[in-house]
Amino acid sequence: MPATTCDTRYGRQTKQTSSNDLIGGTSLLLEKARRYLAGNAVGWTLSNRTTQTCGGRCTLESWRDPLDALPILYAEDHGQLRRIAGALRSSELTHVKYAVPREGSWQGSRPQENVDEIDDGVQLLTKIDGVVVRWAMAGANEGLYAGLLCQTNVTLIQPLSHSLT
Amino acid sequence: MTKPLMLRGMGSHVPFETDRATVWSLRFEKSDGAKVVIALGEWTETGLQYLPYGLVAIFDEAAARGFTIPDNLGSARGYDWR
Repeated sequence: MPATTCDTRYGRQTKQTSSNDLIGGTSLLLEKARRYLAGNAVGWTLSNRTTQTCGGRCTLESWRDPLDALPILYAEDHGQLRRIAGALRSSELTHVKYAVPREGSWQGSRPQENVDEIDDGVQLLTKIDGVVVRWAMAGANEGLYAGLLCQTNVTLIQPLSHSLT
Repeated sequence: MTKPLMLRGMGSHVPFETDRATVWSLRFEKSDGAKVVIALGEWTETGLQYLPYGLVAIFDEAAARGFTIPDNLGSARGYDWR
């Protein structure tokens, strides 16, 4: 049975850009173009590449790559959607955690009680493993990335959990 | 009794630069009805707005239904997926 690749790109990461200074659509497009052109120079600084097994269920990998390398999820990608659904179905959800919570809100606004802002990395954790959802880009296209996550090698930055009851 | 989380739906749209529908929101539900929608977005002074560089976790059905983006016919709650 082939190993499942898990996303462990939260080990030791530092964010180099901020979206807080983006104002309006023009800046948004400029930022997208800058990211596209900058390639590896923009995005996330990640730990050196390591590989290990996770209880025989999956392979843990961490590597250095830009956000552009994250595959975005397309609506017709039923294979990946089934993998995500299967990982969550296998065990009870224990936590929703945020790898990088929001550092500041737009113009001092505050989200309503049942809405949380996250800079990146929403983790849905079960007793066994879980799923991570991130924002990602494929060239100039933006979308969500969803991947399987093994908890055993995850170090959260400013962990924040939200009970889903 | 376990309450597994199920991927129940998604919101998708076709960005200007492509002809493929990309996913911008995912809806997860537990068997007891609890749910969370994860979407590209941020909270602004006018409410939830689409933002490709940020995420929002929405634990409120009405808020998820009310969060739309201009080129998407649906809301962040999305359509059902099986």
